[in-house]
Amino acid sequence: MTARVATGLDLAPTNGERHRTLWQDAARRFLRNRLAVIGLAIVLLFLFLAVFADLVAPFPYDKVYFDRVLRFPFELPGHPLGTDEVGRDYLSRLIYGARTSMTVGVAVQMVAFLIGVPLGSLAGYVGGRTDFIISRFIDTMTAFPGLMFSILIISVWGGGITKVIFALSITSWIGIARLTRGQILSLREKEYVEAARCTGVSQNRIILRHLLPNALTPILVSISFGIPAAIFGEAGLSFLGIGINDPIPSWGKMVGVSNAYVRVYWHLALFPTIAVALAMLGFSFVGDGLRDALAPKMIE
Amino acid sequence: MASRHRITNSDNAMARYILGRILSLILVLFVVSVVTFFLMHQVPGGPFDETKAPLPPAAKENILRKYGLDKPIHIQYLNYMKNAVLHFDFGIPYQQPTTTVTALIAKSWKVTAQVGVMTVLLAFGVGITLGIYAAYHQNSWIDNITTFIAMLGITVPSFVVAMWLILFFAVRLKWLPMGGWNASDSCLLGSKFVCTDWIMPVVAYALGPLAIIARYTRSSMVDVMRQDFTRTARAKGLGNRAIMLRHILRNALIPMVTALGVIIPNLLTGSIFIEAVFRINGLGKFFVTSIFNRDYPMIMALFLLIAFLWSLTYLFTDIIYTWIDPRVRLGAEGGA
Repeated sequence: MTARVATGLDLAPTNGERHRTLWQDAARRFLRNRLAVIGLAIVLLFLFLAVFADLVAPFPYDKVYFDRVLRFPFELPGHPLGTDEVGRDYLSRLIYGARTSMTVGVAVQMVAFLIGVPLGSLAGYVGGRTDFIISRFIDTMTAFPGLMFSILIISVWGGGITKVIFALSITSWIGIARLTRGQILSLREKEYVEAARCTGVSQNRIILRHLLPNALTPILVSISFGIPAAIFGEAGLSFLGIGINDPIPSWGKMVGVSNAYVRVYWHLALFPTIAVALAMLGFSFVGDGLRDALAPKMIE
Repeated sequence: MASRHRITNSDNAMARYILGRILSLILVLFVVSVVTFFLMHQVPGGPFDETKAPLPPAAKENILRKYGLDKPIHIQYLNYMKNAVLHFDFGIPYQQPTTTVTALIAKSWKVTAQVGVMTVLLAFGVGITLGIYAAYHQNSWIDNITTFIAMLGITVPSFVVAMWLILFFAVRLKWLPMGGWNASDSCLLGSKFVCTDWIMPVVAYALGPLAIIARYTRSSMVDVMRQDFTRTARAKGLGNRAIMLRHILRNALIPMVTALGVIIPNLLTGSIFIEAVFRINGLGKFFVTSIFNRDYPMIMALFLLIAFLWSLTYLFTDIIYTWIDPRVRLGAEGGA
């Protein structure tokens, strides 16, 4: 079912070797890459925490204990990472923070995919005036300082998780749209597309069955790098105090709040910064691994 | 001598290219300004909406008239842009009505520029050095460390690095001050030339661009070292130093212009985070406080300023790129 693409490494199965698809090849290469596997483990851990936060976290994220404000790690039994400035369990907030980060990261890239791929394909395939208009639009949007624009939007429409996703999505689809356009532009001149056209395959079918599957690889890589970018965006906005609203935990917000307590209560700053860094590193490793595994020619 | 400069084909193409880019820059700035303006004005709750003690209607009307807020919105936009472009007047900030936006920006841009310049110097100095060293000693421990720093600097956000520096050097070791900029107790002999409170902001801020530069330099050095002209230079007996400076480095640095185009715009926005962590009173800090105060004129002006600088850097790097590298010279196909 999967479109088969010549990968360069992929030698013709001559001596009765078992037939392998592009994705099986890619998976093998990916799993041989140590950093990529580490990254995948980190990502899966955070995704697990995000989905099962209710089961994993020892306390609800908003449960306040007024008699346990600002306790250090291991000071009290049951609060291994201490408590925050209003007496909430820090470990639980970190775990629920994963849910915020992952939700934003994945949702923003989903929007980027749903806007960027259709727009890019349209521009690349139809060409002409449609391409001109879409390309100028993309150019203009590129000139918007991305994160600044998100800050601006949030400052107008207020914070909260949906608005953060919206604000980050506004500029996130541009890269994917441009990439898809370029891919489709180069692919549509290929012989097999011409052959499909000659045999009378409809335009929609050409785009969906012949062009997009072959353009998917770089798009996938771009998305895997887009997720950490979106996580960074959310953390950044929340760090400045304009992203996620209380009492929903966000790593960025926790770092921002901790700045006022860092002189004494070091744990408030340390744990969420580690969480942000780990999440970003994990996704970047996976992105690097995917890129190397899916496009072996790019390594050389 | 006095020979007439012949306008060549490629000169012409270059001029047309630059003109086109400038036109598109103007278009972009127009769109940016319209979008920001309408966005700002569509906010629920104006700066003079009072919930606790409502103003008498007449007083409110007066205030709205004073700030031009009673006119239809497209007139407000035209007025704003006219003043901004012709007189460099971005209005009066709501948070400090006794001064002008321009005056406030003029007061705080120096600090931001100081941080930025030092960051660029550090990032390029150390980044290029590390990149060269790593390229010459591939797979040595320095190369591995450089790769590690590059990975960390590219992926980990600057405010996270900043918090780690604070935790280690200010809280744990107590070597460096927690924040501030040019605070008199952190400067040597009370001078403003060497201050310890510069160290952490600049390092935290520079790590990202430094990483990008080191990576760029390394890969483009390795690339150039494999070229034929490098082998020729070595074959004709040139010293290592001459080869490096005159043949390899010169060619390896061309792609750095692109790196510059990526780094400088990011520096403009990055300053917001660094100034927030280290409590530096620059433009970035102003931007955040303006957002909290719903200070439209200030937000508008700062955003337009950044969008302007942003597109200007893109324009300049593109022009410089086509200018220094004859291989991408426009209009002239093949040999230039």
